[in-house]
Parts: sequence; C-alpha cells; structure tokens
Amino acid sequence: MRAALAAARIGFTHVFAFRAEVLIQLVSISIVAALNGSLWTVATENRTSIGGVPAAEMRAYVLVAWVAVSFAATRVNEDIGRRFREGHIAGDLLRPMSIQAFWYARDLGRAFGTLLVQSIPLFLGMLLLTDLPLPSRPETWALTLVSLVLGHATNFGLSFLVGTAALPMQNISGLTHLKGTLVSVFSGALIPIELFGPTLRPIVYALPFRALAHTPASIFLERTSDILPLLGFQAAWALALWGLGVLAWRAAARTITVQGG
Amino acid sequence: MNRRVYTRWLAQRLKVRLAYRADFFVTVLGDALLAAVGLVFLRTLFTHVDALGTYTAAEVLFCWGFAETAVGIFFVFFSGLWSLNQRYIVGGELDRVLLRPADPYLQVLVDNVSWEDVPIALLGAAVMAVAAPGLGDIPAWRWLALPVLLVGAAGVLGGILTAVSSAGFHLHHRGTAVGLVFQLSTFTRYPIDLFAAPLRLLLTFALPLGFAGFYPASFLMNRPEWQVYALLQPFVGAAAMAIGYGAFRFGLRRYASSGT
Repeated sequence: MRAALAAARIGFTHVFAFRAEVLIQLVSISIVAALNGSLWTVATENRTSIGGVPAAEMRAYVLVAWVAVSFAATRVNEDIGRRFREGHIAGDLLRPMSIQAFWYARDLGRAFGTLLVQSIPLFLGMLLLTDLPLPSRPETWALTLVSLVLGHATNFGLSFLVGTAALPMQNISGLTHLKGTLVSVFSGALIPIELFGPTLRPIVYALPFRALAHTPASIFLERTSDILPLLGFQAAWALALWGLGVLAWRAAARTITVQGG
Repeated sequence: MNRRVYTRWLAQRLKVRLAYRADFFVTVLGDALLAAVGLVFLRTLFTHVDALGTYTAAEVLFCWGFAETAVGIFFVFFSGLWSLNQRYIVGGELDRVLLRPADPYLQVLVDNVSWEDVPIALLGAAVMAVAAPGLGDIPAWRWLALPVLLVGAAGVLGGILTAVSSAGFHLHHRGTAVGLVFQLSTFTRYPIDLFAAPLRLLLTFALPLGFAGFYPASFLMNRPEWQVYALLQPFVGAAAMAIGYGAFRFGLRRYASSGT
C-alpha cells in the first residue's frame, strides 16, 4: 500500500513538472470544447429534441462528456511501449510490486493531478460561459467522482493491454492509434451514443469505451436515477480488463527480450 | 543529396514499416475504422436533421471528404512531426541527422514517411466523389483546381504543425501540443460559419486550419461568399510552410545534443 501511494505521488507531482505543457493542453481542450459545443448548438437549434434526447440535455452532455474524458485520458500504453523499447522495462520488473499495480497507482495519481489543473478549470470555464445545469442532488457529485475513477480504471485496463502488446509486437504505434480512435468514437466524448443507429447502438452500449465519458456524464447530468447498474457496468469492465491484463502480462513477460544495455 | 537517394529512402520506408507487419495492418485497420465510423456518424446525424445551418448533407459530406484527403496526404509526408520532440530533440536523434549532408528538416520528414496512411487519402477522395453530384452546378474547370487545393491544404497542416512542434526546441518537454492542435483541425471539416466568431477568427488567422478544410472545399460549392478565402488558400499553404520551416531552422540553433 505504501508503495502504491508513493507511485501515485510520483504520477501526481509529475503533472506539475511540465507547466507550459499543462497550459497548452488546457487551452487546446478548451478550444475543442468550444468548437464541439457550438457544433451541437447549431445541430440542435430550432429543435426540441434530437435522437430522442432533449436538445438542451444534448448540448450540456457534449460539454460534460468532454470534461470526463479529459480525466480518463491516459498515456500508459505509450509509456509502457517506450519503456519496453528502451529497455527500462527490466528495471520495472524489479520493483516490489506488480508492474500493473505500479502503473495503475502512478496513473491514478497523474489523473488526479490532471483533474486539478485541467478538468476542473475546463469545467469552471463552461459554468461561466454556458448555461450548464448543476446536479440537483448533492450525492451526484460524489457518484460522479466514483464514476470518473472507474472510467479511468477502465481506460487504464485498455491501455495496459495495448502497452503489453508491445512485448510480442514490438511496435505499438498502430495499436495505440486504433485504441485512441475507438475511445474517441465509442466513448461518447465527441459523439453522443444515442445518435448511433439501432444496429450500432447496442454494440456500443456493451463495449467498455462508454465507461470513459458517456457513463460519468450521464450520472452528472442526472439523466437516470438508476445509477448502480451504470457504476456496476464500469466496475465490471475495469475488473475484467484488469484480469485480462494480468494474463496478458504473464504470457508476454515470458517472451521478454531486453534490448540494448 | 540527389533525388535518387530520396527515392530509395522512400522505398526503404515502406520496407521498414512492413517489417512490423501486424502493427502495419492494425494501423490500416484503425484508420479505416475511424473513417467508416465518422461517415456512419455523419449519415446518422443527417437522418435526424436535414441541414447543419444552411449547409446540405452533400456539402458537409464533401467538406469532410476533402479534409480527410488532405489529412491523409499530411499523414503520409509529415508523420515525422509526431516524434520530433520525443525522439529527435529530447532523445538526441538529431545528432545523426545533423551529421549528414542534407537538409535536416527534409531528413526528419523523409525518415518518417508513413505509407500506411495512403488509404486515408483514398477514402477521402471516394467520399468526395460520392458527395460531388449533390453539390449542384459547379463549373467543370473548378474541379481542375482540386489537386492544387489539396496540396495547399496539406501544406497548411504541415506548416502549422511544424511550427508548433518546433516549439519543442525551446521548451524541452516530453510532449508538445502537436496532437492537440491537430485535433482542432478535425473541426475544419465543418462549415466554418457554424462556429462562434472568436473560433472563426482563431481558425482563420491565429491557427489558419480553416484553410485545410472548409475554405478550399467551399470552392466546389455554390458559396461565393467564401470564394476569396478559397483563392487565397494556396498562398496561405505556401506561407505556412515557409513559417514552419523558418521556425524549425530557428529552433535548430537552440538544439543541444542529449550527449548520448
């Protein structure tokens, strides 16, 4: 546990080491939010609903979903891929905790650092500039935070699998790209899932990606009072992906070749 | 270096990429999937609404196809920018580049030419072809300008992103805003007057990404109000490349080897 806390602290403080980078990212995600927001404002103007979702709710949704995905975003796959390529993975194997637990703790710490310097400022900006509704029930805030953490855990599970693929595949730039694509399309971060057609929608609902954006955003906007199934969906995927990660790492680590020296 | 060296180098790139065959095909698959889902999304959106602002489905689709083609060309020739910071500046790979008697910028680009992204450009072209009949009466000669506008659009993207990634020479970070600035360009696939005035100004003057998507695409629509922007586009592309190259050369003077 102490090792995990230390790892989390590394991730957390790392965020503050790159101040200019943080600022540039904040500006960029704010602009994307503004662009996406105005696009959906145009798409829903003079309408009461779109795809069965009230127009105002849709406009609020695309904003909140973007904040959610800014928290869940992780670069663990690239980090692991790089550490493998550069041979540092040998050092990681010597740590007093499993590689998976170490990277998870570290990335969760990083996510909370990002929450402070990116997600929260972005959200406050939206509150100032738009008519974003706040939750009516106080417990919604806590449930949203739980959902965000579970969404991050789900994304970590996916990213760890991609990172582990670096061992047999050596180059994972394509896989990283593919995963990024799947997340941006199926998480609901840029496209509200409700708008997908009747054939695609059930598939997207079953896939893990919506845990990153659609689920926490829906909880925050109080679109349903039935929250436990949503959190259960996220927890189930996070655990399943963790289990897959354990198996994949065990299989891949046997074939490991540390390059260079 | 003469042209033959570059030709061989480009052929070598294809071989290098095919060495990691699984990754190569995953990349192609991912690109195709992204494009397909983008299309499914546009189609879905237009089953719910008839038009975006004053723009018809065919116009939005055409604009999307144009931008996709330009992005495909950009990916093929400018993929070196993604690794400029991490691999070349921080990692010190530029040492090797600087020892060779050829333009360093050109070397970074050629050494990362990404043939696997050609399908993106082809797909964009196919989408343009599908959308074209719905654009109304467009004089045939205008279509002759399409290749110029596509090259100009790739130049706009390449120039802007070269300038942005050259900031890495001065910032010494592990990452720069390249990916995020690129993300902004995905919004220039939509008619620019859908956005609020500050965003329009941003995408026209500050980061002129509008010239990589909507402005040139509007040349093939019945939209006389944007014609000036479309006609200016090749010059914006050339200027962006010049500024990007200048930023790279300027940054290069600040380059300090990593010592490895």
